[in-house]
Amino acid sequence: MLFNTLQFGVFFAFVLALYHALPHRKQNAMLLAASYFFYACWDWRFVSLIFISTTVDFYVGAWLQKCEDPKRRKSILAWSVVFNLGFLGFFKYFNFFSASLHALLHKIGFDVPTATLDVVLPVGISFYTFQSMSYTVDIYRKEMEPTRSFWDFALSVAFFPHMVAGPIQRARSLIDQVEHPRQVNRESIAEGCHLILWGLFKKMVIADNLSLTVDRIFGGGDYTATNVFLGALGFALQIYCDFSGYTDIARGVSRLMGFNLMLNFNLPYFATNPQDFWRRWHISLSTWLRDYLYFSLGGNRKGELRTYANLMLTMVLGGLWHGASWTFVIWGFYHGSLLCLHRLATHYLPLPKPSRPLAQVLWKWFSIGVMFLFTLYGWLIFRATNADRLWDMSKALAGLRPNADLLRGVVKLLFYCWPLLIVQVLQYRSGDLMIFRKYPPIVQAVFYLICFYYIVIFGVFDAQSFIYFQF
Amino acid sequence: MRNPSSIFNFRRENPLAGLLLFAIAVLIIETALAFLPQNALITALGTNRLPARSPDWQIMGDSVAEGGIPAIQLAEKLPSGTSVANVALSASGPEFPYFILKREIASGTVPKAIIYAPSPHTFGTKRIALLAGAYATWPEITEIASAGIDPFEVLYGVICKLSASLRHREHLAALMKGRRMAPDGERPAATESGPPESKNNAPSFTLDRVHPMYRKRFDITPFNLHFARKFLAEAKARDIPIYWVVMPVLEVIQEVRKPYQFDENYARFLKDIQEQYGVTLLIPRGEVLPPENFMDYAHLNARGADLFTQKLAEQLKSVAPQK
Repeated sequence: MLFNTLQFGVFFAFVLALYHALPHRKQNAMLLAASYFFYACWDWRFVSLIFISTTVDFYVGAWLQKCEDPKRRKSILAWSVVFNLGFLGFFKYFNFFSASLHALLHKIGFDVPTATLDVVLPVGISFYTFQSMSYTVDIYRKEMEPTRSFWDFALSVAFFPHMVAGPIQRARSLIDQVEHPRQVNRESIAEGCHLILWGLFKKMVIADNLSLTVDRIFGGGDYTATNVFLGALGFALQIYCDFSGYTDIARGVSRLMGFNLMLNFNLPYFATNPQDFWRRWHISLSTWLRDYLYFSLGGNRKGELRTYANLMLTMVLGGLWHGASWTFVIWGFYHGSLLCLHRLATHYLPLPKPSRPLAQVLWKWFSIGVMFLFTLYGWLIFRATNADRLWDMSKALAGLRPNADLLRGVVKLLFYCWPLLIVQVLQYRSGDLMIFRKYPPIVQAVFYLICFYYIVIFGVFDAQSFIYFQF
Repeated sequence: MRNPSSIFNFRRENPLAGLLLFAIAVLIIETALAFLPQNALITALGTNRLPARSPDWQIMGDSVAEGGIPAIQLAEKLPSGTSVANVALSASGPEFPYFILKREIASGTVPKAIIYAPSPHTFGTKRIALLAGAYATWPEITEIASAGIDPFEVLYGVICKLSASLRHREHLAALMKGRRMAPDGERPAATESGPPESKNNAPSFTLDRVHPMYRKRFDITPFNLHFARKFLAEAKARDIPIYWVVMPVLEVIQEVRKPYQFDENYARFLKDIQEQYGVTLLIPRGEVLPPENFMDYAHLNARGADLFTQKLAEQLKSVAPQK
């Protein structure tokens, strides 16, 4: 059941009506049942997987709370982490590592049969596993108390708006909202509707329409500099609108029930450097990796060299989190390298900051442009189906020159994206992602009308899955 | 000085004011659009094309039958005084004839015999939203919904019925992209000239240009099967003989279908239908006609239609009881 389908519309209308008719504890029970039903619509067999993961982490949390011995606490946590990552590894990475090992052995002259399993990747496993893990790690670090109610914890893991593709909520933040009665007022309703409409626009109009062009370019073998650039540009817009569209709908749906899910995207293509980019792109994952992986590895507390190694390892594992493919590893390595290079440059090559206001503005937009080009190449790595194709596309891209075809292609992409561009520039200039909610009602209504009729007229209605569901 | 009656002041303190204005604007736009002329497809589907009196023969099917078996030509080739009506609908499929027959039953214009010439690839495609949104009346929609198959498609059809912009979305999209779009369901007029791509009478129907819908196994959606069966059962209950006609195709289409064993599976389906409902199967010109008889990859041109109708009339005379 995808957010951009009538099925979800009917499901959510039913859930919302029930939700507002019930008292707090019954709301939670109903939401838990609805969330499991929502997940079962994909594959009912994997409902048990979420339930097992929830049960293990709930009892591990309680155990950690009771236990005072540091060594014992560490081993309990290790057991929980191994369990969670074992699940993830089995379903997501077993075939990848098995095939890679087979290829490696074959290269050095050993031919052993490949052990592959016919396993289906459970939707959202990477998201709910991370969410669930954050609960036990936070209790281990004594940053939170475990919840007493198993059902509250189960709802915080399985809450349907965020279960399959995030945002990866911090356990404490969502459990607090589950435990206490939520408030729904006119503001949250208006904000929720705004986010849902804007999210549907990004997904159905921009992402799904651009996917046709992007698939054609990446799927074809005839790579020219122009079409590779347009493919990367199209994919950059597609993946952003697809994922941020999903997040907006998830946040909007939650707002209508009084929940607040964390912000996942903050105008990422306006980033001025790699560090800034990761503060703006998939914020819930990048902060999760920072807090639970980078800091656990020692962060920047163990010397300069270890800092770079930790940074690189975090990004490579972050790349691998996206999927079992070497292109994701390369993508992670690429972004790790950008972060390391940026850190090196900041430390050893401090550039003088322009002093004049105009120069400052120009410098900022220049930085945004350069970072955007680096990001585009990253998306080329991410989207390429294998290393050979990536190499071919990179070679083609080297010959890029401005030409009429390129301009025509960009204009064609802009046909669907111009409302996004206008909105984002206004959001960036005001520093307020909800700037449209502050405009006069007539302006808001015109904005909603444009989004609505763009969806009606240009929206792709044969519901296409969200890209991040596969991760 | 601030204008107190300005629309910019409209309940600014209410966070829902923008959404409220938006909802009102949508209602106004949809109401206004509802008064615009319908597109050709919806007009064709909505027009009551039922014969004024019970015909001796009634042709049913989709656009292939609509243009491929002209009623007047068939009537001329059958014994004099035979009446023939063609109620085939462009863009329709096997779910439509049941509703056409039901309407005829209601209006007392039930045909004496039916020539049913569906395109087999339409059995595997969904047109539920088109049926519910552009063709069916509200009582018919109730019947469609009560079948309980694909309820969300039916719901989408109902929303389309209520929303003019959804019904016209393809035309509006073409308009906004500055493209001219031929109205749905409107095919180029049948001509004697053969395939439009041909030069110097050399037909140019090629494998690579065949539409992907032909590169599939023969398949029937549960919805189509449900209403196709209801149509056949209704006809059988009223003793209306059905002559199931297999329309000719291009050799290139048969070639494309071969790896999918399309024709074998369709033949198996027809055998079941014959056994269950006693329909008579007619293949008047073999299964293939030369390219010069087609105007495109699916539809016969005037020459093809004439040739095919001639053969069909001969077969009907030999297998059907004289009217």
